[in-house]
Amino acid sequence: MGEIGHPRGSTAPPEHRIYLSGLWSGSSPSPGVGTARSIRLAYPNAWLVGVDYSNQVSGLHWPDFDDIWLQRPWDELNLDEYRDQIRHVLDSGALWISGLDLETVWLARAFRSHPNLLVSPGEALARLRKPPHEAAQRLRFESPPSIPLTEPEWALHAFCRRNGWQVWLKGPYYEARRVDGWSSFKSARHELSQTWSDLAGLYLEAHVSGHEESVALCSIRGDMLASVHMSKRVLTPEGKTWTGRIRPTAQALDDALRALVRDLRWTGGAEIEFVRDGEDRMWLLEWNPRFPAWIHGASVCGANLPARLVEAASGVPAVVGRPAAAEFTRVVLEIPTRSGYPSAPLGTATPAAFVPHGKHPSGMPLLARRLRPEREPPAAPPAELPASILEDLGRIDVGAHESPSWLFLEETAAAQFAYAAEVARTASRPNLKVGIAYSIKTNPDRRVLALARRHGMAAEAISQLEASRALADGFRQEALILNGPGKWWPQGDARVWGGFVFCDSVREMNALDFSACLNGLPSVVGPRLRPPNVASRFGIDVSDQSVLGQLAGAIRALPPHIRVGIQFHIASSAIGTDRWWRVFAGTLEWARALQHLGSRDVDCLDIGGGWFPDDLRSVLGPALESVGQRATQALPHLRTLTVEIGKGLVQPCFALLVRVLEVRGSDQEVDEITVDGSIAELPEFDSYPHRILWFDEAAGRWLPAGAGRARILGRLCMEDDILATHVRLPKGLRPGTALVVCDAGAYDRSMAYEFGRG
Amino acid sequence: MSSVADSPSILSAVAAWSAVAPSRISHHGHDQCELTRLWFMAIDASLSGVYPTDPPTWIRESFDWGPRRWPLHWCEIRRRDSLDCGALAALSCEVFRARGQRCVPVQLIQSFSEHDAAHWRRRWQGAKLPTNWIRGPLVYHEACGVLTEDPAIRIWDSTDNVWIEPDQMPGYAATVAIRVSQAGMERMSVAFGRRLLPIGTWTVLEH
Repeated sequence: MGEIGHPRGSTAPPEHRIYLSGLWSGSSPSPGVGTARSIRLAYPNAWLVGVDYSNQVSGLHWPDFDDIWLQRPWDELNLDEYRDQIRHVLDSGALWISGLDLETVWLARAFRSHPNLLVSPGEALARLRKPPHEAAQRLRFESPPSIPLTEPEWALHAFCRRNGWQVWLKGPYYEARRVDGWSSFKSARHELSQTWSDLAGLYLEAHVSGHEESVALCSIRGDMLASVHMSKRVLTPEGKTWTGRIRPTAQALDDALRALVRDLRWTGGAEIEFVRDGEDRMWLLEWNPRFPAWIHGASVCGANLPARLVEAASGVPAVVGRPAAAEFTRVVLEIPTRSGYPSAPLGTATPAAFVPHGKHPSGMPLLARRLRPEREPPAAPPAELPASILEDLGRIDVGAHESPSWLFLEETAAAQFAYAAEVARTASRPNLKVGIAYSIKTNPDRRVLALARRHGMAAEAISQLEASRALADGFRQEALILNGPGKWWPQGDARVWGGFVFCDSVREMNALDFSACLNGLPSVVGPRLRPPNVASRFGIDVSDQSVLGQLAGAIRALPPHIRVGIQFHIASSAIGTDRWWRVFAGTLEWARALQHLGSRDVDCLDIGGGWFPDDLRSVLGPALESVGQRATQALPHLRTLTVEIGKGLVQPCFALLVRVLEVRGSDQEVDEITVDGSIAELPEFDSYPHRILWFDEAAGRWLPAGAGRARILGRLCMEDDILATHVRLPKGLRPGTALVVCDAGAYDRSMAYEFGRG
Repeated sequence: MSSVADSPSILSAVAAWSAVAPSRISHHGHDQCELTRLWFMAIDASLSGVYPTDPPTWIRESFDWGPRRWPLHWCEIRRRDSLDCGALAALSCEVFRARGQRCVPVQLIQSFSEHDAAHWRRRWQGAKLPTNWIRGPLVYHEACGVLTEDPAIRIWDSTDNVWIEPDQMPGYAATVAIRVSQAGMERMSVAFGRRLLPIGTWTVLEH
């Protein structure tokens, strides 16, 4: 590069000098190389200058660039100086086409406008930030559901459940990580928040199944010059285009784009990425403020958008090429490197760094840090707590309790059990009794069992010990359900039978000896099914048709006085509520098949497994009546529908009281605290979010901890004893301050263990 | 090497396969056939997508493609068996119908290459099965047509697990002729993209 704006060796007139940034040409490329190739097709004598921010960027060596203007990384650049240098370039008559989203944002801020800077106004870029809901509305696309990561964890977990744990965690400008469970969410959140320095701008987006397509467009000051449609035919492992088919954009979409672009006064290239689902609906994923990396694929197919943009900006007519095909593909090429730009040696990563070197060679995360707003966005309010929990906590004399200790939230528990009993009663019909069963293993606390019994619920036992315990606590045999692979353990001289027995294998079902019982025969016997496509170690795998035949035979062989039941248990909190309904629908088909093949009517359907308490109230409870209707439509002889619930009932009913041992941080902000509780009392802490409150002694009340940057560390000398991250803790915390960890009444309580107590 | 068949050979293939009826799975009327049929429908209920028009991709994922003796009965179908395109298409039609969709068998002629055909011919001969579904670079193929409200047809190729595109381009693996089965059809034609396909007769696709 010679004097700025006058590159060495350039004999091209100023209007033929074009600066193109974003030259990375890897598996997730930037568009600079493709844009250069397209312009070269139409302007053989143009002087093309490649711009990037690292000498690792492979596109620096692409021969269509007449010169390279290599910049220092974004954290080294003096942005005022860089702006002045670019202004000099632009004032000399050269054009600038940015291929980097964040560079586009910065240029729009730095210049407001310049006729040679082919970048859209900052207001337009702000309106189309991810997720681009406004654009979706204007283009009559669907918007995938999304939620910002600054929302409380409680809401994020609910979002993931609603969307079947088929969710993407997306960065503000680049990057997306697939989330299929709470631990993968936490891992992705950690990674992307490190990359982008913050949670602000990160969001969760529901996955949409379908085929990915894109529209690229170019526009100058709101006048859309052209658009082109591309459907992906071959993808890279990252989902990037490798082969694509080019078509004209559908007229209706082209018209809608034209109107939107006019309103936005859009200048430059853009890529609209969307998914077409099986119902032919289009879901807008992203609006990228630059040409796509595949833009040269469109050019070789006859739609040279970069040339159209340059033509409109410079007034110099483009050479019109002939389309070579309707499809394009990429190939891998080796080219000689450019003289004067030796590659840098591979950096030596620190042993702990998993992030591959050169992942963001154009340094976008560095620029993101410099573009962060000076004022942080307001924090989202903490997750709401049911009023009963606050009332329960309000009655507790904090000083009278040691810590860590369990708090039984009586009103909350009473409300939970009363609700479940009521929805079951309401859903019952003269020909169908809908009942609730409480899973003893979830929390065998006698107060909980008493509530279940008082509300007429059955008890589900997974061992002879639990069965005996239930009978001793007053449950009648008819209200006892035996389930699981160890229901006959420990083996004694005679077995305790439940009124309902669900077998985990065909062998178990065939081996049932109805003579060896202490307390009367069961009235219902049947299989626990393992539906196909659901990962579970339990139940009978009916995806093998010979097993289905054997199971039908076992059902046919049951004594005539024993009624047939079918059970399935899959945790809806793990697979998501929508998918749970599909598993339920599939189970009805299996039950119908078994009813026909076994020549026995199905009398009882036992469904359940792992409902999150909020979903019990918002999803299952309101739907229970229709569940019964669907079940009786499929199985006309059905008389009993049992819904087994464990954590859905009892998770909110206990909290763990802990106290602060140490507060770390500055006078302005608490970074982390250690408390006397630990993962030994909260073994499920990593499985789902727990709402946390702290006791404000001055005010004498419990206050929720919102979302923030602090951590709560457990007392154990164990690396994974971290009870919470991304929480906001008040400055007033001091050693001895009490906190309660809510939502700890299910497996946290029953699976808590002794550790580190000598 | 060119893989585009010429018009005379396409017309000759159409004539040769005009008497071929679409494949269907037979039922002995006994429990074993019914067990497999019910198992098949229940599997679909468990593995199918969100919408009843979502294609049953699981069928092809559960069965290999290969030679199969006909007639084929339900009781002869075992998971991981080899099924030919006729069986895969017939099973897809059964599944779509069980979900309440209107569908019809669709017969296709596709164009590959002589050397592809040589491989398939040897494979079918090895299984002592006829190779009359191959004529030079052209092959007889079956798929499942799902009728939409328009009325139009979407054609599910259950062998390749793709919807056949109405605007496909000529060349290797292209569909060169289509016949939509008359079975249960009241209409004389259906729309396939921008084309109108007459029912019950072969249409040679002009690319």
